[in-house]
Amino acid sequence: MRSLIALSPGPFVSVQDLGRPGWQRHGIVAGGAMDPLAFAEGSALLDANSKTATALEFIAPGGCYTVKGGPVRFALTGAIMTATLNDKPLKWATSFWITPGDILDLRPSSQTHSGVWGYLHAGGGFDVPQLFESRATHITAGFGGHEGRCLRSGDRLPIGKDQSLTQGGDHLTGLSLPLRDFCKSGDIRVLPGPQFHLFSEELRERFLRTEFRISPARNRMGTRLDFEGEPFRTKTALTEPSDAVSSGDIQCTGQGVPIVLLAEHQPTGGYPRIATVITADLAKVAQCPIGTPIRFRLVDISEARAALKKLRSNILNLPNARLPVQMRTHLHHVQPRE
Amino acid sequence: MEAEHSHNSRQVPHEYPILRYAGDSALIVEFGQSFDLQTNNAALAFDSMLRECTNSARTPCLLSITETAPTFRSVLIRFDPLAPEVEKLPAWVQDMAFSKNWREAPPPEDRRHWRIPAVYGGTAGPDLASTADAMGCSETDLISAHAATRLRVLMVGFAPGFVYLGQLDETWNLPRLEGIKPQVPTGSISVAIRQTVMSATPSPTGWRTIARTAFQNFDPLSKPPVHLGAGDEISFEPVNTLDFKSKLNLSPSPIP
Repeated sequence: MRSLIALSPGPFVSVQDLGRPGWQRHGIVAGGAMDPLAFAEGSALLDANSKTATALEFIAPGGCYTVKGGPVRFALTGAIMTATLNDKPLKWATSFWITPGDILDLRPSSQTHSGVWGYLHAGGGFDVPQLFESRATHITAGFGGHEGRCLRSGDRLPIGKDQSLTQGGDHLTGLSLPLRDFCKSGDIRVLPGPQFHLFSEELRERFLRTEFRISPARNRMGTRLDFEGEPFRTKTALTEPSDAVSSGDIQCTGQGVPIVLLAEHQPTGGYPRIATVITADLAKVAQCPIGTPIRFRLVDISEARAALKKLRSNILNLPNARLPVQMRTHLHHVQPRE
Repeated sequence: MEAEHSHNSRQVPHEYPILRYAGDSALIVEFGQSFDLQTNNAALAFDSMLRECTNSARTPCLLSITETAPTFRSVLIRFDPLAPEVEKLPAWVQDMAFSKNWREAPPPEDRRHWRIPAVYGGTAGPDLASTADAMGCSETDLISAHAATRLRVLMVGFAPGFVYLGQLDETWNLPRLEGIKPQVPTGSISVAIRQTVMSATPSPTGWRTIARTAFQNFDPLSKPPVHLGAGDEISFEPVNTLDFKSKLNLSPSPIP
């Protein structure tokens, strides 16, 4: 059987898919890829169904990998890193072959604003056990993915049957998608949170005026926000009963520090939530590197819906956005980036 | 019944239930500000009703619901914000929430009673002595009192299979510990603020760990992966030793 060998994986590499929604009543949150669009891009590059696909998710450096048992198609998407195959540069957001003996090396990019979470898809997917409808690793709870944990040197991940190989075709690899623009700064759109009413008018206004920065205290569970000035503390921050929380919720801790909850958040929490990031902007927060300045902009539900509709239609249209790698290089010369 | 109802009406501010928006994909229906058994019953009954209605789906907007989850005092309703007729969902939920006094609802059907063996004190319950001190009783008295109280699963939350159990009497109204222990093992049983929590994965805690069971409430390989549900009842049974390395299977009895 073909497999991926982790020669020296980066510090935070896990198997992810689109998560396991529907289990919150059992204390299990959906989890899954931090950037579903980047995840879908990888699936599109390999002509895979993103609903059943799996990928390695990583922060830089992603580490070194090879394959055994036969050649495997791969795609790299998400946060832009410096990728080489046998020391030759690989273009990001493309699909390519790795054959036994090859070494794929994923190092931090020298570019700034290149995102945080990268994805490595394999044609045929990573054949790890499916636990209640998902192969995603739940890192804090220690289950799912490969042995419920991040990858270590020497780990061997079996790769499933690649349906596209039996069907054949012209573009099994060598396809590319446009490089994404990751958050340099700017607006993150929010709706009022479920405890908006507990915050005074002054706190709410200041929250929307304040320039926050992504703190180094960040992981798959959430990201803390640094800021200058008085804390965002409600009188009842420590006495509210625990309630169900959602990804995107911005909770203000007992010290009055905002934390944006992300894919692997705890299912319940007692800190009041001043605002909730709209679903369409969640990956934008997740992909902001440490220190990125962000501001929150209050929008209404119709803007949140319209933004999600646009995101979903972008995902559906990904197959049409693919081009052979050579043509993409040409386009970069004639088309200024957005 | 009449008297009890008017008593409730005095206790609970008239504005409940309250419908709150939680982002573009969730609603929360709150049945009270803090925990009490009737508030919890209201949340569990409303959740059961939602599940029944969603399964039969006679109302198109209900097809947008992707999951519901009850908590101490509320119900989370998650939905697809782009599903057909989803804009009608909040009004439907609001109507249902006010359609009757949910606080008068009986506890959910198909509840079960679990007898869970637990080793108190020692490495299984490192905070037993300090907790007995704080309560001004002996360790033996603490263990008997804890095991004698039939506890109810008020909420599954915080982590997979992690349960909040209530409610102990006023003598157990202890604050949480000042520091957070970075990790207690699966099956740890800890107390504070008149509640008991039982972990089902290794997890951090600021609660006082007095015992441990070999029962694993979260088992990713079983169906469903979590055994205890909100509304179930638990009696802890003190035992001297347990093999924490092997999985302990329990058969609950139905609560009539």
